[in-house]
Amino acid sequence: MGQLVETAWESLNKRGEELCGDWVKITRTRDSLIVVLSDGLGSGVKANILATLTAEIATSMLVRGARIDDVVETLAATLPECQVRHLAYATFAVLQVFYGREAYLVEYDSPPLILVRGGKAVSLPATERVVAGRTIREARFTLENGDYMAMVSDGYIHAGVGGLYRMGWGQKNLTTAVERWAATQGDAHELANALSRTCLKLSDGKLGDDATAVTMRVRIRRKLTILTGPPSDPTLDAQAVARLMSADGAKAICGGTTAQMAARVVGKPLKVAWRPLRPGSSAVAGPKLPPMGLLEGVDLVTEGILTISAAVDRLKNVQSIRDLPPDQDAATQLARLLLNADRIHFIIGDAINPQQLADVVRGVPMREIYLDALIARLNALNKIVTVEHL
Amino acid sequence: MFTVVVCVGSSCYVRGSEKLAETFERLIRERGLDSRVELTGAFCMEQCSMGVSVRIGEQTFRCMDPGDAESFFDQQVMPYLTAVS
Repeated sequence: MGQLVETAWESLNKRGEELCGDWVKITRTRDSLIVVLSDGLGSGVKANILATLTAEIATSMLVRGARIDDVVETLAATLPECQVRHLAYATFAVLQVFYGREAYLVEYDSPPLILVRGGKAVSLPATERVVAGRTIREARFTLENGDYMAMVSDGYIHAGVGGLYRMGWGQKNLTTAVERWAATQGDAHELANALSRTCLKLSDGKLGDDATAVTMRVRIRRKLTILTGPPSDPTLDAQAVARLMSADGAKAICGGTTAQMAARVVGKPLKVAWRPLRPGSSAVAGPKLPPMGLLEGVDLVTEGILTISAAVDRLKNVQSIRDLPPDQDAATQLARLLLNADRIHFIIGDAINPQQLADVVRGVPMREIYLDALIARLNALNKIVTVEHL
Repeated sequence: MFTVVVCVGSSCYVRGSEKLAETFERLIRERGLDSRVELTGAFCMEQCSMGVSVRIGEQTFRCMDPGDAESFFDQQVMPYLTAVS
């Protein structure tokens, strides 16, 4: 039962600017999460380029296992100089979390990371040192389930300056806001949303600087296992079903024949959720979908390719469950289950229905084509996806 | 009580099993067969290339054209119902 850092972020642009001078890059690797927030000097295009370069360079180096010293040196050597200020400058904050637990933080001229545990801000054991002529702050700490974090650009610290607050919102007030908000036990998206709304209000809708908040919540990882397609070798049926039923977390079956196979193996009846799911669901774009099935021990049973391809559609332009319509059709429910999970394991049976040979497109079964599209989308959503074929 | 099972597997669904089921539902209601016939769905009956599959008891029927569900019901399902009752 692993732990995970759930992330979200929102940027607000300085008034009149089309581009944001802050840049966020969030990457998940097999064993770690890397969050980089960079704030480029000035605003507009120039700041945007500096921040983008900084975040992208830092991320790609860290993903490949580079040391932070090398990253700082590389940044110092490669960033283009501003012609007005004769400076190549972008602040950055890098948080790398291994196994959702062991955190390593590096900050260069950016506001300190806020960590709230049990409703109280925790001060981080930070040390300073000089790398390539720049003073960086480093901290290593262990995260606990229920922790909240906020990494912000200085637009937040200065929000409302000269107006509501003489000196801006300030680190202390911002920290108090996060502490109070943490009592609601909301998720990372809600925290990002709450912070940026407050920031806008404090600035009366007219921001003096780009303001970005990356918000994080530490929680237990949610798993989902999906069985789709019967194995190419029928003697493996029982094994495929056992793999699904013994998995922890949520379970789903996509495919009518697969569901029948599973019902046979576990010796329980498979029922088709015949009528009741249609009324109440709002007008869904595209064709209606086959009904769902009910099988004890499995959270969701759907038809195969039609539902999977519709689920790919539902996941377009969607970041989290709250972006989905309240529909109850099979594809939306599947999309919801997928979005809810952090780690998704596919058990894909490669049997080809002899009745549907026409479905094999240039040697690739249709199921495979739709699954590839689905997996690509899930990867883009930063889900950890694993696949096994039987 | 007879159970009429309409296949809602991918292939039958694409061929209009939903429409077939809706017509069946209407006919059962109109003819006052509710107490004698139960309509339900099932996933793939492995007769995919043969039109929409409908199973009554041990017997499997195939409806090639769900648009013509009413005459299918009259010609295939009704005689079966009268025969077994």
